[in-house]
Amino acid sequence: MDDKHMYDNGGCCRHENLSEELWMQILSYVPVLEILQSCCRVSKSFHRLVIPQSYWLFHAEALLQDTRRRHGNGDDWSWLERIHLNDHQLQRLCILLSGAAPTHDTMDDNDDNDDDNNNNLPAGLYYGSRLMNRSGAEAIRQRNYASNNNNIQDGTAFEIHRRRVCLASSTDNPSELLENVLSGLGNNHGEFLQNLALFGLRQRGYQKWWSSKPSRVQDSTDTLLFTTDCPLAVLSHLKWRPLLDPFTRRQTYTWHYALVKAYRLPLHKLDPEPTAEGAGFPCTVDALPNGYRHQRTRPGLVSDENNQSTRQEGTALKMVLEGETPVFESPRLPYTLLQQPRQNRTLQRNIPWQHLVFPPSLIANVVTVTLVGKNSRQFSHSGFYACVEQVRLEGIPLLKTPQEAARMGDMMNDDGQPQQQQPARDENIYLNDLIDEVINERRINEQQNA
Amino acid sequence: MDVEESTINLVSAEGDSSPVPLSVAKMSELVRSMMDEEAEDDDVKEIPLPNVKSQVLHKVIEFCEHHLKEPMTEIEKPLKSNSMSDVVQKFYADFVDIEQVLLFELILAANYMDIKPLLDLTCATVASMIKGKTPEDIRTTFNITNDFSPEEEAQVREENKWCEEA
Repeated sequence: MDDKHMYDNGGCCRHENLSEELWMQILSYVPVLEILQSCCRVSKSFHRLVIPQSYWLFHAEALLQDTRRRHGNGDDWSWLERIHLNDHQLQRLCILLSGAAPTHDTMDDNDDNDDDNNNNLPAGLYYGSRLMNRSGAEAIRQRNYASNNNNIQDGTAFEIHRRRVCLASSTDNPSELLENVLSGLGNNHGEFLQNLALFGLRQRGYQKWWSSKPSRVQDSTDTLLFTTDCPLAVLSHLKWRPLLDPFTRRQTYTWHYALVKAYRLPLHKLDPEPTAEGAGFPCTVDALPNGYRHQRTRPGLVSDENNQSTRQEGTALKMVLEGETPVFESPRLPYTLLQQPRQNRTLQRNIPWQHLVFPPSLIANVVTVTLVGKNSRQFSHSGFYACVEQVRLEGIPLLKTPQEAARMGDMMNDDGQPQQQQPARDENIYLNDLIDEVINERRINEQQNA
Repeated sequence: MDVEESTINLVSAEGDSSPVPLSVAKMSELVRSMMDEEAEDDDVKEIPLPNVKSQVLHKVIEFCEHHLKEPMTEIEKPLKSNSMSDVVQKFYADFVDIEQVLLFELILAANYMDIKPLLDLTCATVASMIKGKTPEDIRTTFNITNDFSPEEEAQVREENKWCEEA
């Protein structure tokens, strides 16, 4: 071979002659898991190539361009650099973009167990529900977070923060809070099926749901807000379904159409102590708007307190989203039942979900579902209601460190379902309980003295 | 009546001149920009490509000529198969069924001449040689020396342990 020598190694072009940029381009065709499992163990030069964050940013952008081209979503991926994901988060994003996650086609409408679809995913990615389970959400709702400027001097009022993982713009009554639509532990439907006693008749029905306030007009709107169980997640699917009347099982409380928005809220809005270790697990929002002074009720009148909290939800929801721009907005998603349940026994057992597949690479921590319009009254003389039986949000947590992955692992039980959250920051709970006890005791003493 | 398309000479590193139709030559962004820069000079008939050997240039021209007739399908990322014939049309799969040395030279030429489809094809071909291989297989394929100590390799493995339970 008498070619002019162009390379240092005697005219023979080898892998060393390719620049890092070209190797990055080559590796963009290699599945991400193989890069992490094989390529980075080939040699120090390969390892150096795939370690920097710049590599994963390049890889994510290459996959985004490719994915979005195939999905016809344009080439707007410039946001990726702006949100400052670290390499660990980018690796997870790349794995999702490279098609390792289940697709909408593999989702089973009639089964809540999607585990079978996740065989190709590493366990460390934790693909699955990104919503807190109902028990954990309820535990969080019951907690009070004392604000920094507690005022117990007057003995009658003090400021508290009550965190929630979901908020509704309206709720009919405290037993129909939005937490009811979150999945239960283990078999998701197991907890819903209850034997209800109604007018002396026993029948099987769904015990828990969220209900809007009744509306005199059909075209009223309600918004449901859900936070993810981690500070940032790549969201893949959202599905929700209306409530089949648990008593008559003849009608569903549906809506004309739904609008879904996803937000990427700053961590300080999602965690009362964002500087703490493990901040943002799960994301929560303040259910009591700033400036709202919690009025104490007499001991025993807990329902009054709950009602007041319920009334504040709509305001809190608005305040959480105030000034925030959604990173995703769905088109109108009409919900249509071709047949009424009263005419169809199959429907009476299985009300269809309403589905939304998010575009690839949607990174968010808050999702809202706005239900526009209401189709059904409970009784001929009552208002119109929208009721939701269950909501599921799926995706992959974008974790910053392997330690966070371990933390997610701790949150999962053997079934891959999130365990009930252990109350964190116990000192706040105990502080509030202590304050309650002191105030109650003082009241009782005052009453007895009087 | 067919009008004969004007040609331009691409000159390789060895000084060999290859006449190429303008439409073919302009698949290279490098050639296109050089022609644009000297658009006022009607006498531009030669484009020197000092970084491209004759053998490689012939392959590049072969690719470009065929690409005008039958554009290559987009290659999906990541590769779904180790076999390029599952990814692109037969011509292109055969086109890159070549010695590894020539393949790397084609990558460099495609990068230098800025011919995106050729760069995609050649990069994807190298990726297909990596896909599904163990670290040892990759070392053997590309004649790479393992310069990790056992401790270092174990540490790298530990770093990515989180993704090993697929």
